[in-house]
Amino acid sequence: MKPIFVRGVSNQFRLTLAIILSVALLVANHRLDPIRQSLSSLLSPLQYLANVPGVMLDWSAEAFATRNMLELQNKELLRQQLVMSERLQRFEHVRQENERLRALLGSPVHMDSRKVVAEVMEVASDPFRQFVVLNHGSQTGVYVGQPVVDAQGVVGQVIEVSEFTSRVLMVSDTTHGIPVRVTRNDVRAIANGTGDIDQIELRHVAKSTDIIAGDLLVTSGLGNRFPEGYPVARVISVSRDDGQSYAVINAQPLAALDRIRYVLLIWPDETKPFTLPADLVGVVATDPANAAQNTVPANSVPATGEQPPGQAATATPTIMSPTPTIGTEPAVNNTAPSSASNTVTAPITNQPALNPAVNNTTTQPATTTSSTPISNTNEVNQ
Amino acid sequence: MSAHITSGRLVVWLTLFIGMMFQIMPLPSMVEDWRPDWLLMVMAYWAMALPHRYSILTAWILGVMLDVLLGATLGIRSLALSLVIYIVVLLCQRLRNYPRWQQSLVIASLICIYHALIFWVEFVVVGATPFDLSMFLPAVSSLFIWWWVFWVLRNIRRRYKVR
Repeated sequence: MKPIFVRGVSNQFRLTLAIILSVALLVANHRLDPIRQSLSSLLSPLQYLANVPGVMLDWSAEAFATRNMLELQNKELLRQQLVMSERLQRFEHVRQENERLRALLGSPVHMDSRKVVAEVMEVASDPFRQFVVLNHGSQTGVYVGQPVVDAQGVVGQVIEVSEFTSRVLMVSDTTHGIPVRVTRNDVRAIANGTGDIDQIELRHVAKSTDIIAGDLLVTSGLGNRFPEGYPVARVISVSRDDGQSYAVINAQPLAALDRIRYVLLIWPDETKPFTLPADLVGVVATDPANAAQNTVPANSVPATGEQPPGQAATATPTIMSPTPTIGTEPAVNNTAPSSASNTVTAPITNQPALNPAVNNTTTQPATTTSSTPISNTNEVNQ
Repeated sequence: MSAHITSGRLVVWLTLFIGMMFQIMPLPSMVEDWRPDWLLMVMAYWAMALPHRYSILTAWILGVMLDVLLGATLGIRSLALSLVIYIVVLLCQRLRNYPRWQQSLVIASLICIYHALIFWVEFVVVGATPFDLSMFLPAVSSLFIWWWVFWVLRNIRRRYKVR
């Protein structure tokens, strides 16, 4: 038996209740992240299920690939691998040189960070926003605010983590801003998304600023979210209209945001010394400075940007400029000119003081044998 | 009797979740803009057929789930969906007696309202979302798919005697 008239509470009451609840959700949205996270963990099987047709298509494309296609692909990959490993050899040389110079200057040595390859899940997202969903979640250690890059450049940052999935806000979203610098002349700016998938813009840049079309924008490391030096976008147009207060600068993201399949999740805080691919170790081991170099990353605690994950969100932004500035670099030792002049060729092991109360002590070369690296124990409040 | 109702409930929720899965399924970018509003159509059918069981608050819960799945601000789709389902519940007696083409016209106009509401709230909450008429394209595709959805769901309802 179906009632003609609704029993119990009226529809108007239900509607009012629904509207009030919705508005409450909209208002309290930022405080509901734990609820959202557990809900999205609960619903993630649905996402995996919705992803199945795409996976099946991929699988069938692979399963029915002809021998010819595979051979072609294999040849191309081998060629790329050769080119890349040649580049890597040169890179390794330059990296060691750079590390040595930075050690001499007392700057923090760049470290390799933990990375995980993630796959983009093909599920629909809010059509007004620029999101992608990844197949890794808090089980892998993904956290909110984590930088995400692909082979070409920065993709965006994680804004929501569930147990087995995470959502990435791409650099082209209207609510996304990323601190960048121009590689040509180190001009700094902030790149905002426009809502257009292949366009971002630099806002509030003075008309006299030296930025031209074709400039490469890389992350500046300011703001402590994105590690320094990842390519973001290339400037495609600069217009300095008299009617506008600022220059209008448009750039195109380097990452192919509309067709990404695989991305890299980066943990900038979980650093480890650079490790070489197995086949390259033999090449570099012949470098005489190599043995001494390996001790540098192992002993030093880089001064900036290497806080434990928990502190990263609350840490004050630290300037990570390519040239060390006295005052912002705790590792710079100003009080040991004699040791510096004696040891131009010897690698210096820096140990920035973790405890500010430690006195400034410098171990002079006379107390050590000539072959051991000089260790400077510095402190922040000199 | 009680077991009957439970199995009926199971069937309804199953169809709703399948609708939600279709809603977030990957589509080629060419037809992405034309994605029919599966969840809205399935919910509208059940609200039309059994308004005393599945109506506004069910729609609200589904809207929250959809917001979570799409990564949108919570409350946007729950607000829009519950408003649209309210209209369906008000019109259910008439909708049941309409010929199929007239039903689909009503559903299409409801989908227009739904998308306009979503755009409006997104504009207020997120800000600076570009207005694009292509957001009404789902109404056009749903116009043609409603006939099929109605037929499938009515068969399911009769087959499993959902009441």
